[in-house]
Amino acid sequence: MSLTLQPQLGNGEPSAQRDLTSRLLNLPVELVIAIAAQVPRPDQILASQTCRALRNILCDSVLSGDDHLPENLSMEERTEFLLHLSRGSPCQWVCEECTELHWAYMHDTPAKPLSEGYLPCFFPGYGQRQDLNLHSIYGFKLNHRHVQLALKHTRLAATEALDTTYLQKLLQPYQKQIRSRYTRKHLVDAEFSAHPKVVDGRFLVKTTFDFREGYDKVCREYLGTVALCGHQIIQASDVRNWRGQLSDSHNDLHPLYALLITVRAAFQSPGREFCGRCEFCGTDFSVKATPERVTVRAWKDFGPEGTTYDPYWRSHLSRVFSTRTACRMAGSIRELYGEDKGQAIRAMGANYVPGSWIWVDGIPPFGVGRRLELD
Amino acid sequence: MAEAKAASQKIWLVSNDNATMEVDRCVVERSMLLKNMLEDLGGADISPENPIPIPNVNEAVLRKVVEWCEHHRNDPVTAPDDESDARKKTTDIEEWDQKFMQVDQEMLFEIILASNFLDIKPLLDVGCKTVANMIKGKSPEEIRKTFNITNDFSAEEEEQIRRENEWAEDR
Repeated sequence: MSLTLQPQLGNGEPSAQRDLTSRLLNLPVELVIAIAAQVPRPDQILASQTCRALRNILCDSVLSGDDHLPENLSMEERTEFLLHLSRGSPCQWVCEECTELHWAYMHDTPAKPLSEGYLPCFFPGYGQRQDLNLHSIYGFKLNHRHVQLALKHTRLAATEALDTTYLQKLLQPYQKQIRSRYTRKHLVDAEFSAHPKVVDGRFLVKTTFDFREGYDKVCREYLGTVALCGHQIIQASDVRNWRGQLSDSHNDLHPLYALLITVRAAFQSPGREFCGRCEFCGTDFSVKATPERVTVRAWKDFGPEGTTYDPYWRSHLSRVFSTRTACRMAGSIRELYGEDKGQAIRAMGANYVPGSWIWVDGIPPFGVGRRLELD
Repeated sequence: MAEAKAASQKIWLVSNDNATMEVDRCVVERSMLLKNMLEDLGGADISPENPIPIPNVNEAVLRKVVEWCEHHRNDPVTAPDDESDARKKTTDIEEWDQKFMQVDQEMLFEIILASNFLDIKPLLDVGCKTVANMIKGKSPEEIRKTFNITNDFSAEEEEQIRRENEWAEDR
């Protein structure tokens, strides 16, 4: 016998017995409907799966026809539905490629991600359909499932006695040695590291490029390629043609040159830390240079527990050039990460403009907001 | 002049537990129910000895409602035609209202019921949005826990819901 949970109600009253201990269920039906109308459809469906009374009220009013069936949701709504449905399940993550829940593997981490061939929905060209799931930098392959699972495990560990072994693996620091060769003759050693962290329900990553003298003293020409985020990338050729890159036509200090001009400023004043921010993903960064060592650090915010449609996650994709999520104060991600100097940067944040930079000490080198005079 | 005088006129309300409070008429008129009543009756007879009874609303809840009306006394009154559109598009709540609604569930639902009874649509809207935000982003189990809801589905109904969600599972 097929059972239908479609409402069989007369005059707006649910056929099911109302739960007298719940204040929500004791509201007049029209108020429950008014509340439900303010909730997105995936959450309406999830609310309709809690008890008979809500099922009947919602199916009769806001989820008419087959609207209560999750399979009728759009792709974006489906991923949201699945994310919320699986909030209590530490072993499942939402795959945006096939909009299904998959089981997590304990050895799948950003440092050693699961080969895509092992994913149940793998197909040739996996990942290209949406190109949304991966933020990769020097072998640190942060997949959206890692962010999802780390945030979920952190939340569940705080409220339930959840084993944190996998969480620790997901948040394990990553290190990689890089040899930066500018020409056949010049060689600089570099270490790249990534330190993921969950703060206030957000997934943050601090990355560091530490260039040390190899065969040669470190100078800006020997840095080679530095990819800080999907937008702030210095190519070796940029540095070689330094003067050309920042010619008059680029005197507007396009936000894509924020890292480039900050690196240049650091080399002009050795030993001082210069800060900047990517206008597209909000990433805070700092550069400090001496002849022996150059340190480029970045603090990134991959957002709260959400889907791959979350604007904070999306802002890190190289082809996304929206400034929607970067409206926070400069230095705020650094501060959230727990770096003490963030406070000073934040204090200056109100005067921060694209292309300018500020001292960590709080003294702007060229006057806040003033355009740089290029050499 | 007459309008200003009417706005500063005092009105007395009495809760269902016999607490009387003095409120400016313009504040009271955030309630469409009381506004219409005062327009019909003129309000001249209202006095501390002869306050307007507010049945079903106790003192604590009435004070909260009056506090909200005081804060929003100068807000433009929404035309009945505009309100459905403006209210349904977003669950964003302005900062003061968010803080105002940081109360226990008992009080929250009492405010919703009182604003519904007194016909204060913007307050009702803030209340509904607050509850909507408590539903958003939660699993069915979390919604049950938040609102003290008992899962009363039969085994067959549970099975039907499982079938509805089946497409989502690893196959």
